[in-house]
Amino acid sequence: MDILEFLRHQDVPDAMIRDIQDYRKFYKVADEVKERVTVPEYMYYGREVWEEAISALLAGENLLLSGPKATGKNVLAQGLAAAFGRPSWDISFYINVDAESLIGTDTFRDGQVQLREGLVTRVARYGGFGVLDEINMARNEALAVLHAVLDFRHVLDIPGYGRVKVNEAARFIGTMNYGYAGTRELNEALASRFMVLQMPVISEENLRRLIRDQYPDIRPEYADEFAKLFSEIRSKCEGGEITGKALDLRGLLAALRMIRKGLPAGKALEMGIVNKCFDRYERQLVADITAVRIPARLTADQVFTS
Amino acid sequence: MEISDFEKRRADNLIWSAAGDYGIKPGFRVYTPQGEADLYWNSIVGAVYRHFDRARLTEMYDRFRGMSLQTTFESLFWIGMEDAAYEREKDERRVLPALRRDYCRRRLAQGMEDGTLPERILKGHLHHCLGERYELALERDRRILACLESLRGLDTQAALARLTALFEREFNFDSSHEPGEPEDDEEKRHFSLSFRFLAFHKKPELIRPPIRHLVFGVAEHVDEYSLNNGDPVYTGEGQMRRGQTDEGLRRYIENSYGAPMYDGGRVRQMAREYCTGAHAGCRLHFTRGDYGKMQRDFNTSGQNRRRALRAQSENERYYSQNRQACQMAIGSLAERIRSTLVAWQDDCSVRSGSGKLDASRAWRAGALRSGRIFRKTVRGDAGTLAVQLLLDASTSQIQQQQTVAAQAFIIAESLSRCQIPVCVNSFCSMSGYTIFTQLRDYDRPEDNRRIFRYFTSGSNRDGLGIRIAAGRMEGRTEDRKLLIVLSDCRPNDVVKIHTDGGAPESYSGDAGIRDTQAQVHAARLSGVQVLCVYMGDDEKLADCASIYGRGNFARIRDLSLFADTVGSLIREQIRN
Repeated sequence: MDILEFLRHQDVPDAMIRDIQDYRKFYKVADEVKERVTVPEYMYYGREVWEEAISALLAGENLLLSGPKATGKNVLAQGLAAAFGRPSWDISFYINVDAESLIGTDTFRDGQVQLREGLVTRVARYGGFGVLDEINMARNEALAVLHAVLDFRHVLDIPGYGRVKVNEAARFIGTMNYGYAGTRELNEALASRFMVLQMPVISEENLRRLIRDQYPDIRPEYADEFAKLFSEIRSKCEGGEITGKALDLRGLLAALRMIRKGLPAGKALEMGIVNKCFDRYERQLVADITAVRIPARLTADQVFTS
Repeated sequence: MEISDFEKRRADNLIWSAAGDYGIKPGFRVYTPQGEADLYWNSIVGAVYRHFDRARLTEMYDRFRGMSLQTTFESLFWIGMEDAAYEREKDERRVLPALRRDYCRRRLAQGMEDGTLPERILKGHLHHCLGERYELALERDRRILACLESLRGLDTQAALARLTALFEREFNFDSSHEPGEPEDDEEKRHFSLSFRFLAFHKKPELIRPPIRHLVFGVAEHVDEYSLNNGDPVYTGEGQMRRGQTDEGLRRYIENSYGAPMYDGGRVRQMAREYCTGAHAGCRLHFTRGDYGKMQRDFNTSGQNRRRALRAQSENERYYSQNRQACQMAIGSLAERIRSTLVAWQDDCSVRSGSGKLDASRAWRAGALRSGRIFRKTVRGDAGTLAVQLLLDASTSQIQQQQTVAAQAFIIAESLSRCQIPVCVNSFCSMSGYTIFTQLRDYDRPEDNRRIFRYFTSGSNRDGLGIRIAAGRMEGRTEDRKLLIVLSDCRPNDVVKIHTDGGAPESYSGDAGIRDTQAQVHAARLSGVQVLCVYMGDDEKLADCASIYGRGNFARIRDLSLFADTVGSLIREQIRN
């Protein structure tokens, strides 16, 4: 389904969708980055969140998606890039990311030292959507790079190479899981450059819809059981009984895919969910949750109609 | 039967999932004969909590306690409730029929004796669950099973009324029986023949252990841990035996605190190593807090054992009451430690095809057409870390015993989640002995709940405790070693400090603080970083600062601040 059509199904107001279409028409995508305009694998479910996020981006703001694991932060970010028809770059802020890896670094090419552009520079140049994943894990020197890019100056200074003016179509979407990386507060200067959206936990009903959309031939009772399984894992995480490793929506959907391919449910869930926990005690607790919700010997013909 | 703490946790999680309520405290857990949490039965226990009025069920169940036919009633009660809860739950949890079938087949495969009434009833019930025709031989058995399988669809009140009527009719059950009281002999005369046979030919045991075999599995009655069971009340600290022989005192300490974990030769060697200088004349006892049967039953030391059990029960109850806050603290502290470890990496500069131009290698571009004329910074290995928690287990900690146990558990559990080896010891002094109790060893993350065995007694020779703890870390191969002391910083012991030429000085007040300060310093010199989580009052806070130094201790006023405070403390130590 086309993403704008999906948004209509989500009851996003038509006026908003028309604004997105105008935006698409106005800002063209350069040929060399057209392959970066992607079709999202999963859709985000939640009309209000869509409306808030789209409004912020249409108003020219950058967006910070804050919420616990498995609330769909990255799915929404990808969905927004797709809806606005922009090329996107995922910039993961793990601890080794420094200023050079964002701006660019010198390299030797064609007999001379040249700039190899970093991801932020490419977003700025091509007017793409930069998804700043786990932005609160970033080191301060990496965050400092973003300040001038994100505020009213919209410029990126590259020492030795001059200045790159940030394309008007460019937007940055930060994601952060405050509880997960609690040791680092996002500094105020950076936070003030974003509109912040607190991501709600996906409801069981929306999860059922997501599962049914991904697997239209799944029997309703099993869409229900798998949604409940995910809710139970989440409850255990929220209660602190297990870590967030098993709270993996992609893993759950991948497990369903494997069930369809002929693997018994027990094995598929083991690979998709249970084995994500490397601590053997935690793994056992997660195995128990799956064992008392989904029969281990459940097969494709029981789960799917076709 | 010994059930591991992890299996208890598994059982709790199964019950919470089935009950759909993480706030409840499971009062009943079921295990397989191998001591593993039973998937099916614990799900049923949760389903019973979910669909029935737990308080009313418990009220009836408690009445069985102390009866001669207690385990018979308990088994039949649960067979009936299993059937009733299954019927309500099976449509909401589609896995339940498969789990039930697996359980039935497994239980039947274990072999079912036809000897006792509960076994005969269960056997019939299991066959019925598997959809098989199975006729019990005795008319009375058929009546009982039919009644137990007729609770489906009933609410709590109706189900209990039917069970009560069944027990009264078939067993002369006294529904007014007070829990734990012996049965009235007068009434026994009117019992049925079969009951009289059981009641008078088998000596009744009024007090049964909380973990007991019921016909369907090994059942743990969690609430019964808190019952006094008529134990004599502990009378205080008067165990100092004047005029006792060395051997008698050693035996007394072993009986009171648990069997020794090292042989005599090794303990003597450690005493030679550690009990010198200010600690000359002290004796050592190292234990894991395990007691043999003789020690459990032995009168005087048995008191200590019973007190330890009560303390464990109180510690677990406190943790359970504050479980949500504690689990949050664990999650948060674990993340803080993990992030600190990730951030704690040494940078190093390496040659690369991109990065900062290395002018000294620029010639290679022209001469060799090589692009490797740059340097880039990469992060090094995070190194390894070992942590030891040392808990002051002296009587002065008695008011905060449960808090200390919970905080130690939080730290140990958080470190375990980060795969950091952690060891937990408590120490106290009694009758000239300094007793080191190992609650959790480095390679035993599954033993974290043993920390709840922490209990307080005697006094505390902090300097010796820290000296031994730091000394035992020296052999560890990790890059960094961290000793975290949970203490009120009030060292005090009966063995005096012998000084050259001067009069012996009491190990308390300034002398005790000076010695502890010196031992902390010595530990740091040997490469062990020492931190303190202060458990005392404002009055002695200055002593804590003088022993450990500013920035090396934290005081926790509120559990919600625990992760922040301790996390920052650990982070600073790792960074330094």
